[in-house]
Amino acid sequence: MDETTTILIGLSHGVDYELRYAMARYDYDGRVQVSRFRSADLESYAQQTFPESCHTQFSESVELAFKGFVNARRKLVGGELPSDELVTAELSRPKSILVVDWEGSLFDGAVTPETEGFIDDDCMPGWDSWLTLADVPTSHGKKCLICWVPEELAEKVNFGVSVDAASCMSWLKVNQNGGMSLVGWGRSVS
Amino acid sequence: MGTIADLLNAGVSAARGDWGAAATNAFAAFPGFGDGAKAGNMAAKAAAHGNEAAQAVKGALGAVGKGADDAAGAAFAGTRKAGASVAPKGTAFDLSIARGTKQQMLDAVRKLDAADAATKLSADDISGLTENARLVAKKYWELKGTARTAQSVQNQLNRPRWRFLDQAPEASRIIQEIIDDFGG
Repeated sequence: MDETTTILIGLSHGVDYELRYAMARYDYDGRVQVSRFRSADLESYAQQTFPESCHTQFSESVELAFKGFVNARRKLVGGELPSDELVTAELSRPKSILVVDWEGSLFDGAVTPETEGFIDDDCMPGWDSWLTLADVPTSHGKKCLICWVPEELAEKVNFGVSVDAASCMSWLKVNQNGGMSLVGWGRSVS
Repeated sequence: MGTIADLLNAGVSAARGDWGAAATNAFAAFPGFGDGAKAGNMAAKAAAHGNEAAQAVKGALGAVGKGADDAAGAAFAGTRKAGASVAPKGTAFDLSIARGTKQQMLDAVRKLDAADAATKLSADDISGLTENARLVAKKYWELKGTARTAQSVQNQLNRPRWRFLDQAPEASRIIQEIIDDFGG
């Protein structure tokens, strides 16, 4: 299958739902602080989800732990959520949604300096950016991690995508029919 | 993992014949012996193991140039640094050809990053390590001249998997070509 035409039907709804909670927790003040994406509040939930970082093989327990992670985030956010318009605009913005095929990572730290630590040495983005797990037909692992990349980090992560020797990351884009499709593994976008 | 000294530096030092520096840098490249060794906390340990590390690096780099290059490949050798990014098709310098499967690569690097230095590589390990070297080099040459940071390249070359280059001659040559360019 041509990866550029891989369409992930039904994904956008789940991404849209969790994106509003990730956005609600991101308090941007003009300074990029990647530490905000590894908050202490959610660290234990993240570690339960990926106890061996990128070496964690997907299983039902990963999926269950991920549900625990997003539930914990929802509780932390409470009732103040960004508007539907803001979330829709963010979802449609190029370089806002990243797919990470974590089981295909070479864990070589090449992307870390390029993204100022937003993506770590194992090629895992900070947990506060995590949105959902999804089937991606052309991936190495059974599931991929879908993440949000705020605009302030988009160019750095875009370069990081192209630096990764394993090509285990791809941007997602929203299609006219509301679905999402893969831009291409290891492919940066202009 | 060392953040200052690393295997890259060891390779550069070794290539220059500075085996004392190579020993220190190689030693500092491995987990548990990084900045501490540099700072002096691990100095005694480094001295004790320095010769062993130097020999490991020297052995790894000694395999460079032993690949079975054909005449076209041999003619290309060294010109990539000067800007000739595309090697003759089908030669050992052609980075568009996979040297192993993705699964071989991932299995090999997981195993070798955690393996004892005395580990003997299987054919699958060698294919996997060589494929990793190819992909690292492909990105290196493609991105040369861009905003890519030196730390990004150093992080890749710091991985313990490269201790086994002496058993994977083609991977060794591929990595050496980067070191010659990056550190030279």
